[in-house]
Amino acid sequence: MTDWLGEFEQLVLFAVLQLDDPYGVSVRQEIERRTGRRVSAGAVYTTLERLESRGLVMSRWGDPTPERGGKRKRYYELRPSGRQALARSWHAMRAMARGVAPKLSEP
Amino acid sequence: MRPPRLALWLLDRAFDPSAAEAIAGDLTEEFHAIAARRGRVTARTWFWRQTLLSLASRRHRASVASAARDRRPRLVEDLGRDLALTVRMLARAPGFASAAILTLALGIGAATAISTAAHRTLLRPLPYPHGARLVFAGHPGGDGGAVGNVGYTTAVDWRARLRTFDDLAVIRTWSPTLVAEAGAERLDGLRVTWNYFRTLGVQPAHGRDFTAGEDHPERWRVVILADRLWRRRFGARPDIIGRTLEFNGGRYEVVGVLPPSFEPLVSEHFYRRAEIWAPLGYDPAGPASCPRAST
Repeated sequence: MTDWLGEFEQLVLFAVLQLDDPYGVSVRQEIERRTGRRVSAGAVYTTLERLESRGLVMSRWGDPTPERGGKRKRYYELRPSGRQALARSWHAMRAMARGVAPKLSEP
Repeated sequence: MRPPRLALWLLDRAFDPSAAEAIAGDLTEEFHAIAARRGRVTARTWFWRQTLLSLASRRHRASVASAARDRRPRLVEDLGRDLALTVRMLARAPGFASAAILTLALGIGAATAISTAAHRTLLRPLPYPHGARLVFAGHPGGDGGAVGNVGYTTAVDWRARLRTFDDLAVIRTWSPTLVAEAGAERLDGLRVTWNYFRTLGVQPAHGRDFTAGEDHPERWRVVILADRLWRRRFGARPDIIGRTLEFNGGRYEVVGVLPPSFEPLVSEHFYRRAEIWAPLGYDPAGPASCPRAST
């Protein structure tokens, strides 16, 4: 069965989906750019690790580069189960939000 | 230019190897970008902030997971969780964190200052043997409660009739001017009855104490020096004992030097920190100005 996703997990999965070669830095910057929310690298990785252990994303290693202090990049992509989980959470959110958008913009 | 090594080491310790490599690599990459745009200091600050936030998120997750496994309350774990939460909250609100740290620093500083002062003035015993048995005696002063001057003959009478105290010594202020080739210097000193130092329970470190015979109008020109004066003006020379010093009022023989631990609290209280002492040398039969009494 598919688990429900937490709010931050949804943000991370959306960012992974949005990006061409998503890895820690680009995921973090994408979330900060779109939401204006400040996010720590550790929080992104902790979440990505958890999503990977739940089988929702998978990762592969890139090559080490000098500007990364000789450390490799870790790229992520959604598995089909991750896509389903994100779609489910997003639909749930939309279903709940339907019709109340005007109320949200009230002062 | 490299990111802070300690921060990298902390990341390495806190995360398992693959996560540590990815996180350290990401932070290093951004560190270089930030350093190029906004300078090294900003980049280092950013790196540390990210490291602490990452550590806090790691601790938080680990302790939530273990709390779910084991519901028994555990002091160390709770403490770790509280600390992690504290770090996270403070890192997110640097302004508040600075104010909190400043408040704590001021509070601790003030408490330390007050307890130091209380210890010095209220709790610490006087730096003399049997300090608890020493008292000042005098006529009531003009401003209520202060110890005032006593006539010398009165003090002599007090000493003759002592029953409660072992002894009574008399002091008066004295400011001799030392005349030397290196230049004249006005010294802060006391003239004291011959038994002053033994009443305090203090013995000179070099030389000897005053004798009863020296407390006499004709024979009082002998001095005992503070260790500080001996070092400052006479280079701590050991042959100071027996030497003659010239003061504006005549020539004086040095008979003793006090130990460095001696604190001239009596003179400091009434006058200034004394560095030199000479016998009072009053004749009880003759008239005298107004010295203070001390037991």
